[in-house]
Amino acid sequence: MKIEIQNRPAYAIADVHLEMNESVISEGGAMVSMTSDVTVSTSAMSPGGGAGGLLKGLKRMLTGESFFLNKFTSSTGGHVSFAPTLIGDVEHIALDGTKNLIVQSSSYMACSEGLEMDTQFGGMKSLFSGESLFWIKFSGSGDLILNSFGGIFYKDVDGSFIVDTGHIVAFEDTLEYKVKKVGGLKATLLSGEGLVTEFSGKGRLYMQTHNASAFGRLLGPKLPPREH
Amino acid sequence: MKQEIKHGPSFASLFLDLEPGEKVRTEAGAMAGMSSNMKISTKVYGGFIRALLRKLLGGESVFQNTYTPDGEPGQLILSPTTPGEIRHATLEKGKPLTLQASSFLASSPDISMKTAYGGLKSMLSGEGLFLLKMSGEGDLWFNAYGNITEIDVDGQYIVDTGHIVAFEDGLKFKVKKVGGFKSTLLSGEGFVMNFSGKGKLYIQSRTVSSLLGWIAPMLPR
Repeated sequence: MKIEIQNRPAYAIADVHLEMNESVISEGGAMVSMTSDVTVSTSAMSPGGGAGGLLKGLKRMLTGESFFLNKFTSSTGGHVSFAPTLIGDVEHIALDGTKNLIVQSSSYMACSEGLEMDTQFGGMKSLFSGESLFWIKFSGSGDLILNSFGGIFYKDVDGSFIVDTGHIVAFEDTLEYKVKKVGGLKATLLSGEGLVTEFSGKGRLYMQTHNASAFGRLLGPKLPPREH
Repeated sequence: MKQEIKHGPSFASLFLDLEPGEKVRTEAGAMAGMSSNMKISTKVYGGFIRALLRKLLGGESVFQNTYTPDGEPGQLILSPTTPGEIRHATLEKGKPLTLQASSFLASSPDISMKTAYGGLKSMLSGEGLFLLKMSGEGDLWFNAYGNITEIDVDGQYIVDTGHIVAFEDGLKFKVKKVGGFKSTLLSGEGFVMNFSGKGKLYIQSRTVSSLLGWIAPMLPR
Protein backbone atom coordinates (compact mmCIF):
# COMPACT_ATOMS: atom_id res chain seq x y z
CA MET A 1 0.00 0.00 0.00
CA LYS A 2 1.26 3.43 -0.95
CA ILE A 3 -0.42 6.52 0.42
CA GLU A 4 -0.19 9.98 -1.12
CA ILE A 5 -1.87 13.01 0.37
CA GLN A 6 -2.84 15.75 -2.07
CA ASN A 7 -4.11 19.32 -1.68
CA ARG A 8 -2.78 19.88 1.82
CA PRO A 9 -3.67 21.40 4.14
CA ALA A 10 -7.07 23.00 3.45
CA TYR A 11 -8.65 20.46 1.11
CA ALA A 12 -6.56 17.36 1.73
CA ILE A 13 -7.48 14.08 0.11
CA ALA A 14 -5.77 10.67 0.55
CA ASP A 15 -4.85 8.56 -2.50
CA VAL A 16 -4.35 4.93 -1.52
CA HIS A 17 -2.55 2.77 -4.10
CA LEU A 18 -3.28 -0.92 -3.56
CA GLU A 19 -1.36 -4.02 -4.65
CA MET A 20 -3.20 -6.94 -6.22
CA ASN A 21 -5.68 -8.41 -3.63
CA GLU A 22 -4.79 -5.78 -1.08
CA SER A 23 -7.52 -4.03 0.96
CA VAL A 24 -8.05 -0.74 2.70
CA ILE A 25 -10.75 -0.16 5.34
CA SER A 26 -12.57 3.13 5.68
CA GLU A 27 -15.20 5.02 7.59
CA GLY A 28 -18.51 5.09 5.68
CA GLY A 29 -18.96 7.95 3.24
CA ALA A 30 -15.27 8.83 2.89
CA MET A 31 -14.67 7.30 -0.58
CA VAL A 32 -14.27 9.85 -3.37
CA SER A 33 -13.13 7.81 -6.37
CA MET A 34 -11.58 4.46 -7.25
CA THR A 35 -10.40 2.36 -10.16
CA SER A 36 -12.93 -0.11 -11.56
CA ASP A 37 -11.09 -3.22 -10.33
CA VAL A 38 -11.89 -2.28 -6.72
CA THR A 39 -14.80 -4.03 -5.01
CA VAL A 40 -16.51 -2.84 -1.82
CA SER A 41 -17.82 -4.95 1.01
CA THR A 42 -19.58 -3.49 4.03
CA SER A 43 -19.64 -5.14 7.43
CA ALA A 44 -19.42 -4.62 11.15
CA MET A 45 -15.95 -6.16 11.08
CA SER A 46 -12.82 -5.23 12.87
CA PRO A 47 -10.08 -4.40 10.37
CA GLY A 48 -7.95 -7.14 11.92
CA GLY A 49 -10.67 -9.63 11.00
CA GLY A 50 -11.56 -12.57 13.21
CA ALA A 51 -14.40 -12.94 15.68
CA GLY A 52 -16.18 -10.25 17.63
CA GLY A 53 -17.11 -8.21 14.57
CA LEU A 54 -20.67 -7.61 15.68
CA LEU A 55 -19.67 -6.57 19.20
CA LYS A 56 -16.97 -4.30 17.83
CA GLY A 57 -19.49 -2.73 15.48
CA LEU A 58 -21.82 -2.03 18.39
CA LYS A 59 -18.99 -0.60 20.44
CA ARG A 60 -17.96 1.58 17.52
CA MET A 61 -21.46 3.08 17.50
CA LEU A 62 -20.76 4.34 21.02
CA THR A 63 -17.95 6.47 19.61
CA GLY A 64 -20.42 8.22 17.36
CA GLU A 65 -18.89 6.46 14.36
CA SER A 66 -20.75 4.26 11.97
CA PHE A 67 -21.61 0.66 12.94
CA PHE A 68 -20.30 -0.42 9.56
CA LEU A 69 -16.91 -0.09 7.95
CA ASN A 70 -16.22 -0.38 4.24
CA LYS A 71 -13.53 -2.67 2.87
CA PHE A 72 -12.11 -1.80 -0.55
CA THR A 73 -10.22 -4.62 -2.29
CA SER A 74 -8.31 -4.28 -5.52
CA SER A 75 -8.24 -7.33 -7.80
CA THR A 76 -5.48 -6.18 -10.14
CA GLY A 77 -3.75 -3.32 -8.30
CA GLY A 78 -5.56 0.01 -8.35
CA HIS A 79 -6.32 2.96 -6.18
CA VAL A 80 -9.01 4.45 -3.94
CA SER A 81 -9.15 8.04 -2.74
CA PHE A 82 -10.75 9.27 0.46
CA ALA A 83 -11.79 12.72 1.70
CA PRO A 84 -13.08 13.94 5.07
CA THR A 85 -16.38 15.81 5.55
CA LEU A 86 -14.93 19.05 6.86
CA ILE A 87 -12.19 21.21 5.35
CA GLY A 88 -8.79 20.40 6.79
CA ASP A 89 -5.69 18.28 6.65
CA VAL A 90 -5.10 14.53 6.35
CA GLU A 91 -2.18 12.72 7.98
CA HIS A 92 -0.72 9.29 7.29
CA ILE A 93 0.69 7.53 10.35
CA ALA A 94 2.52 4.20 10.04
CA LEU A 95 2.23 1.96 13.11
CA ASP A 96 4.98 -0.63 13.56
CA GLY A 97 3.47 -2.63 16.42
CA THR A 98 5.64 -1.07 19.13
CA LYS A 99 3.22 1.75 19.97
CA ASN A 100 -0.57 1.94 20.05
CA LEU A 101 -2.42 5.05 18.94
CA ILE A 102 -5.63 6.32 20.54
CA VAL A 103 -7.71 8.30 18.08
CA GLN A 104 -10.55 10.75 18.64
CA SER A 105 -13.35 8.98 16.77
CA SER A 106 -14.24 11.66 14.20
CA SER A 107 -10.55 11.89 13.18
CA TYR A 108 -10.48 8.32 11.83
CA MET A 109 -10.71 8.10 8.05
CA ALA A 110 -9.08 4.87 6.81
CA CYS A 111 -6.53 2.18 7.66
CA SER A 112 -4.87 -0.94 6.31
CA GLU A 113 -6.41 -4.33 6.98
CA GLY A 114 -3.78 -5.51 9.41
CA LEU A 115 -4.58 -3.01 12.15
CA GLU A 116 -6.61 -3.99 15.18
CA MET A 117 -9.28 -1.46 16.10
CA ASP A 118 -10.98 -1.28 19.47
CA THR A 119 -13.17 1.11 21.40
CA GLN A 120 -11.89 2.67 24.58
CA PHE A 121 -13.93 4.44 27.23
CA GLY A 122 -12.75 8.01 27.89
CA GLY A 123 -13.82 8.11 31.55
CA MET A 124 -16.94 9.49 33.21
CA LYS A 125 -15.66 13.05 33.31
CA SER A 126 -15.44 13.20 29.55
CA LEU A 127 -19.24 12.96 29.66
CA PHE A 128 -19.21 16.57 30.83
CA SER A 129 -16.48 17.80 28.50
CA GLY A 130 -18.95 18.05 25.64
CA GLU A 131 -16.85 15.77 23.46
CA SER A 132 -17.08 12.09 22.61
CA LEU A 133 -17.01 9.66 25.52
CA PHE A 134 -15.15 7.04 23.57
CA TRP A 135 -11.86 6.75 21.75
CA ILE A 136 -10.73 4.29 19.09
CA LYS A 137 -7.54 2.41 19.93
CA PHE A 138 -5.37 1.16 17.06
CA SER A 139 -2.73 -1.52 17.59
CA GLY A 140 -0.62 -3.83 15.48
CA SER A 141 1.34 -2.76 12.43
CA GLY A 142 -0.03 -1.03 9.37
CA ASP A 143 -1.10 2.31 7.96
CA LEU A 144 -3.56 4.70 9.51
CA ILE A 145 -5.07 7.75 7.79
CA LEU A 146 -6.49 10.48 10.01
CA ASN A 147 -8.23 13.74 9.22
CA SER A 148 -8.58 17.02 11.10
CA PHE A 149 -10.71 20.14 11.11
CA GLY A 150 -8.00 22.63 10.18
CA GLY A 151 -4.30 21.82 10.23
CA ILE A 152 -2.68 18.86 12.04
CA PHE A 153 0.40 19.32 14.18
CA TYR A 154 2.04 17.25 16.85
CA LYS A 155 3.65 17.85 20.18
CA ASP A 156 6.11 15.43 21.74
CA VAL A 157 4.92 15.59 25.33
CA ASP A 158 7.55 14.97 27.99
CA GLY A 159 6.09 15.96 31.35
CA SER A 160 2.61 17.35 31.01
CA PHE A 161 0.50 19.42 28.62
CA ILE A 162 -3.11 20.63 28.66
CA VAL A 163 -5.38 20.49 25.61
CA ASP A 164 -8.91 21.62 24.89
CA THR A 165 -10.59 18.24 24.25
CA GLY A 166 -12.02 19.38 20.90
CA HIS A 167 -8.49 19.90 19.55
CA ILE A 168 -7.29 16.32 20.15
CA VAL A 169 -6.74 14.18 17.04
CA ALA A 170 -4.79 11.24 18.47
CA PHE A 171 -2.11 10.28 20.99
CA GLU A 172 0.27 7.44 21.72
CA ASP A 173 -0.94 5.26 24.56
CA THR A 174 2.30 5.79 26.47
CA LEU A 175 0.62 9.05 27.50
CA GLU A 176 -1.68 9.09 30.49
CA TYR A 177 -4.61 11.47 30.38
CA LYS A 178 -7.19 12.86 32.71
CA VAL A 179 -10.09 15.26 32.21
CA LYS A 180 -9.89 18.15 34.66
CA LYS A 181 -11.13 21.67 35.37
CA VAL A 182 -9.24 24.45 33.63
CA GLY A 183 -8.76 26.50 36.81
CA GLY A 184 -10.89 27.53 39.76
CA LEU A 185 -14.68 27.31 39.79
CA LYS A 186 -15.11 30.73 38.16
CA ALA A 187 -12.72 30.02 35.31
CA THR A 188 -14.25 26.57 34.79
CA LEU A 189 -17.78 27.95 34.51
CA LEU A 190 -17.16 31.22 32.70
CA SER A 191 -13.90 30.99 30.74
CA GLY A 192 -15.44 29.13 27.82
CA GLU A 193 -12.79 26.46 28.39
CA GLY A 194 -14.58 24.36 31.02
CA LEU A 195 -13.07 20.91 31.20
CA VAL A 196 -9.75 20.23 29.51
CA THR A 197 -7.61 17.12 29.04
CA GLU A 198 -4.24 16.95 30.78
CA PHE A 199 -1.70 14.59 29.25
CA SER A 200 1.27 13.34 31.21
CA GLY A 201 4.19 11.03 30.56
CA LYS A 202 6.12 10.77 27.33
CA GLY A 203 4.68 10.35 23.87
CA ARG A 204 3.39 12.05 20.76
CA LEU A 205 0.16 14.04 20.79
CA TYR A 206 -1.52 15.00 17.49
CA MET A 207 -3.68 18.12 17.59
CA GLN A 208 -5.91 19.98 15.16
CA THR A 209 -5.82 23.77 14.82
CA HIS A 210 -9.61 24.07 14.87
CA ASN A 211 -12.44 22.71 16.99
CA ALA A 212 -15.33 21.28 14.96
CA SER A 213 -17.88 21.33 17.77
CA ALA A 214 -17.03 24.96 18.61
CA PHE A 215 -17.63 25.86 14.95
CA GLY A 216 -20.89 23.88 15.07
CA ARG A 217 -21.97 25.69 18.22
CA LEU A 218 -21.31 29.01 16.47
CA LEU A 219 -23.54 28.09 13.54
CA GLY A 220 -26.21 25.95 15.24
CA PRO A 221 -28.04 28.58 17.31
CA LYS A 222 -28.29 30.83 14.26
CA LEU A 223 -30.03 28.20 12.15
CA PRO A 224 -33.83 27.88 12.09
CA PRO A 225 -35.20 25.26 14.52
CA ARG A 226 -36.06 21.84 13.14
CA GLU A 227 -39.76 21.27 12.74
CA HIS A 228 -41.21 17.87 13.49
CA MET B 1 7.35 36.66 24.65
CA LYS B 2 7.84 34.81 21.41
CA GLN B 3 4.93 34.74 18.98
CA GLU B 4 4.33 32.72 15.84
CA ILE B 5 1.26 32.43 13.63
CA LYS B 6 1.25 28.93 12.10
CA HIS B 7 -0.98 27.01 9.66
CA GLY B 8 -2.16 30.28 8.03
CA PRO B 9 -3.88 31.60 6.11
CA SER B 10 -6.60 28.92 6.07
CA PHE B 11 -6.17 27.54 9.58
CA ALA B 12 -4.08 30.15 11.37
CA SER B 13 -3.34 29.47 15.03
CA LEU B 14 -1.31 31.61 17.41
CA PHE B 15 1.58 29.99 19.30
CA LEU B 16 2.86 32.10 22.20
CA ASP B 17 5.85 31.33 24.41
CA LEU B 18 5.46 33.32 27.62
CA GLU B 19 8.02 34.07 30.31
CA PRO B 20 6.93 33.95 33.97
CA GLY B 21 5.09 37.19 34.78
CA GLU B 22 4.08 37.83 31.15
CA LYS B 23 0.33 37.93 30.60
CA VAL B 24 -1.96 37.56 27.61
CA ARG B 25 -5.67 38.26 27.48
CA THR B 26 -7.74 36.07 25.18
CA GLU B 27 -11.22 35.57 23.82
CA ALA B 28 -13.17 33.00 25.87
CA GLY B 29 -12.81 29.49 24.49
CA ALA B 30 -9.81 30.30 22.25
CA MET B 31 -7.33 28.08 24.10
CA ALA B 32 -6.45 24.96 22.09
CA GLY B 33 -3.54 23.82 24.23
CA MET B 34 -1.17 25.04 26.94
CA SER B 35 1.62 24.07 29.29
CA SER B 36 0.31 22.73 32.56
CA ASN B 37 1.92 25.56 34.58
CA MET B 38 -0.33 28.12 32.86
CA LYS B 39 -2.64 29.99 35.25
CA ILE B 40 -5.99 31.30 34.04
CA SER B 41 -8.20 34.09 35.39
CA THR B 42 -11.59 35.03 33.96
CA LYS B 43 -13.10 38.54 33.87
CA VAL B 44 -15.72 40.68 32.15
CA TYR B 45 -14.25 43.18 29.71
CA GLY B 46 -15.64 46.14 27.82
CA GLY B 47 -18.08 47.12 30.61
CA PHE B 48 -20.56 44.69 32.16
CA ILE B 49 -23.80 46.07 30.65
CA ARG B 50 -22.28 46.52 27.22
CA ALA B 51 -20.71 43.07 27.40
CA LEU B 52 -24.10 41.64 28.30
CA LEU B 53 -25.74 43.43 25.36
CA ARG B 54 -22.96 42.10 23.16
CA LYS B 55 -23.81 38.61 24.36
CA LEU B 56 -27.59 38.96 24.01
CA LEU B 57 -27.65 40.71 20.65
CA GLY B 58 -24.44 39.69 18.99
CA GLY B 59 -23.81 36.27 20.53
CA GLU B 60 -20.32 37.31 21.57
CA SER B 61 -18.80 36.18 24.84
CA VAL B 62 -19.04 38.33 27.95
CA PHE B 63 -15.89 36.93 29.52
CA GLN B 64 -12.24 36.98 28.63
CA ASN B 65 -9.35 35.04 30.08
CA THR B 66 -5.90 36.14 31.15
CA TYR B 67 -3.14 33.53 31.03
CA THR B 68 0.26 33.67 32.70
CA PRO B 69 2.84 30.92 33.26
CA ASP B 70 3.69 30.09 36.85
CA GLY B 71 7.35 29.69 37.86
CA GLU B 72 8.83 28.76 34.49
CA PRO B 73 8.18 29.68 30.83
CA GLY B 74 5.06 28.22 29.26
CA GLN B 75 3.35 27.82 25.90
CA LEU B 76 -0.16 28.90 24.96
CA ILE B 77 -1.82 27.85 21.68
CA LEU B 78 -4.82 29.94 20.60
CA SER B 79 -7.25 29.10 17.78
CA PRO B 80 -10.20 31.11 16.49
CA THR B 81 -13.60 29.42 16.15
CA THR B 82 -13.75 29.93 12.38
CA PRO B 83 -11.12 28.76 9.89
CA GLY B 84 -9.16 31.72 8.54
CA GLU B 85 -6.34 34.17 8.94
CA ILE B 86 -4.83 35.82 12.04
CA ARG B 87 -3.09 39.21 11.99
CA HIS B 88 -0.90 40.87 14.60
CA ALA B 89 -0.97 44.63 15.21
CA THR B 90 1.22 46.69 17.51
CA LEU B 91 -0.98 49.34 19.07
CA GLU B 92 0.58 52.72 19.84
CA LYS B 93 -0.69 55.53 22.03
CA GLY B 94 -3.34 57.59 20.24
CA LYS B 95 -3.68 55.01 17.45
CA PRO B 96 -6.53 52.71 18.43
CA LEU B 97 -7.93 49.98 16.22
CA THR B 98 -11.62 49.13 16.09
CA LEU B 99 -12.46 45.42 15.67
CA GLN B 100 -15.65 43.70 14.70
CA ALA B 101 -16.38 41.91 18.03
CA SER B 102 -15.92 38.31 16.87
CA SER B 103 -12.52 39.22 15.36
CA PHE B 104 -10.86 39.66 18.74
CA LEU B 105 -8.45 36.81 19.54
CA ALA B 106 -5.92 38.12 22.07
CA SER B 107 -4.06 41.15 23.33
CA SER B 108 -1.57 42.43 25.90
CA PRO B 109 -3.39 42.59 29.25
CA ASP B 110 -3.42 46.39 29.54
CA ILE B 111 -4.93 47.15 26.14
CA SER B 112 -8.25 48.78 26.94
CA MET B 113 -11.41 47.64 25.25
CA LYS B 114 -14.63 49.58 24.75
CA THR B 115 -17.80 48.09 23.25
CA ALA B 116 -19.54 50.12 20.58
CA TYR B 117 -22.34 49.09 18.32
CA GLY B 118 -23.01 49.77 14.70
CA GLY B 119 -26.36 51.45 15.19
CA LEU B 120 -29.96 50.31 15.09
CA LYS B 121 -29.89 49.71 11.35
CA SER B 122 -27.27 46.98 11.62
CA MET B 123 -29.31 45.37 14.42
CA LEU B 124 -32.35 45.25 12.18
CA SER B 125 -30.29 43.83 9.36
CA GLY B 126 -29.72 40.71 11.46
CA GLU B 127 -25.98 41.20 11.19
CA GLY B 128 -25.68 42.52 14.77
CA LEU B 129 -22.67 44.71 14.31
CA PHE B 130 -20.76 45.00 17.56
CA LEU B 131 -17.44 46.73 17.57
CA LEU B 132 -14.60 46.73 20.07
CA LYS B 133 -12.40 49.78 20.21
CA MET B 134 -8.95 48.62 21.29
CA SER B 135 -6.57 51.29 22.55
CA GLY B 136 -3.34 51.64 24.51
CA GLU B 137 0.12 50.27 23.87
CA GLY B 138 0.89 46.64 23.20
CA ASP B 139 0.08 43.63 21.06
CA LEU B 140 -3.23 42.79 19.47
CA TRP B 141 -4.15 39.68 17.50
CA PHE B 142 -7.34 39.50 15.47
CA ASN B 143 -8.84 36.80 13.28
CA ALA B 144 -11.27 36.42 10.41
CA TYR B 145 -13.38 33.86 8.60
CA GLY B 146 -11.33 33.44 5.42
CA ASN B 147 -8.44 35.62 4.37
CA ILE B 148 -7.81 39.18 5.51
CA THR B 149 -7.28 41.92 2.91
CA GLU B 150 -5.85 45.33 3.85
CA ILE B 151 -7.29 48.38 2.11
CA ASP B 152 -5.81 51.89 2.38
CA VAL B 153 -8.80 54.20 2.30
CA ASP B 154 -8.42 57.87 1.42
CA GLY B 155 -11.84 59.30 0.75
CA GLN B 156 -14.78 56.93 0.72
CA TYR B 157 -15.14 53.16 0.64
CA ILE B 158 -18.07 50.78 1.07
CA VAL B 159 -17.92 47.36 2.80
CA ASP B 160 -20.66 44.78 3.40
CA THR B 161 -21.25 44.71 7.21
CA GLY B 162 -20.53 40.96 7.34
CA HIS B 163 -17.08 41.39 5.79
CA ILE B 164 -15.68 43.99 8.17
CA VAL B 165 -12.79 42.88 10.41
CA ALA B 166 -11.07 46.05 11.66
CA PHE B 167 -10.36 49.69 10.87
CA GLU B 168 -8.11 52.48 12.03
CA ASP B 169 -9.28 55.55 13.91
CA GLY B 170 -8.92 57.94 10.97
CA LEU B 171 -11.99 56.28 9.45
CA LYS B 172 -15.59 57.12 10.34
CA PHE B 173 -18.51 55.07 9.09
CA LYS B 174 -22.24 55.15 8.54
CA VAL B 175 -24.39 52.03 8.22
CA LYS B 176 -26.68 52.40 5.26
CA LYS B 177 -28.74 50.47 2.79
CA VAL B 178 -27.16 49.62 -0.48
CA GLY B 179 -28.79 51.62 -3.28
CA GLY B 180 -32.53 52.12 -3.19
CA PHE B 181 -35.24 50.13 -1.42
CA LYS B 182 -35.49 47.63 -4.27
CA SER B 183 -31.81 46.75 -4.35
CA THR B 184 -31.71 46.50 -0.52
CA LEU B 185 -34.37 43.80 -0.69
CA LEU B 186 -33.28 42.04 -3.84
CA SER B 187 -29.53 42.52 -4.27
CA GLY B 188 -28.62 40.15 -1.43
CA GLU B 189 -26.38 42.87 -0.03
CA GLY B 190 -28.62 44.42 2.64
CA PHE B 191 -26.64 46.82 4.81
CA VAL B 192 -23.22 48.20 4.13
CA MET B 193 -20.75 50.35 6.02
CA ASN B 194 -19.86 53.52 4.23
CA PHE B 195 -16.38 54.58 5.42
CA SER B 196 -14.90 58.00 5.00
CA GLY B 197 -11.59 59.57 5.99
CA LYS B 198 -8.08 58.23 5.82
CA GLY B 199 -6.82 55.01 7.31
CA LYS B 200 -6.41 51.28 6.98
CA LEU B 201 -9.36 48.93 6.68
CA TYR B 202 -9.23 45.13 7.09
CA ILE B 203 -11.87 42.96 5.45
CA GLN B 204 -12.48 39.19 5.43
CA SER B 205 -13.04 37.10 2.31
CA ARG B 206 -15.99 35.07 3.72
CA THR B 207 -18.88 35.71 6.12
CA VAL B 208 -20.51 33.38 8.62
CA SER B 209 -23.93 34.84 7.80
CA SER B 210 -23.68 33.82 4.13
CA LEU B 211 -22.67 30.30 5.17
CA LEU B 212 -25.73 30.16 7.44
CA GLY B 213 -27.91 31.57 4.68
CA TRP B 214 -26.74 28.79 2.40
CA ILE B 215 -27.18 25.93 4.90
CA ALA B 216 -30.52 26.97 6.45
CA PRO B 217 -32.80 26.19 3.47
CA MET B 218 -31.25 22.72 3.22
CA LEU B 219 -32.11 21.64 6.76
CA PRO B 220 -34.74 18.91 7.03
CA ARG B 221 -38.22 19.96 8.00
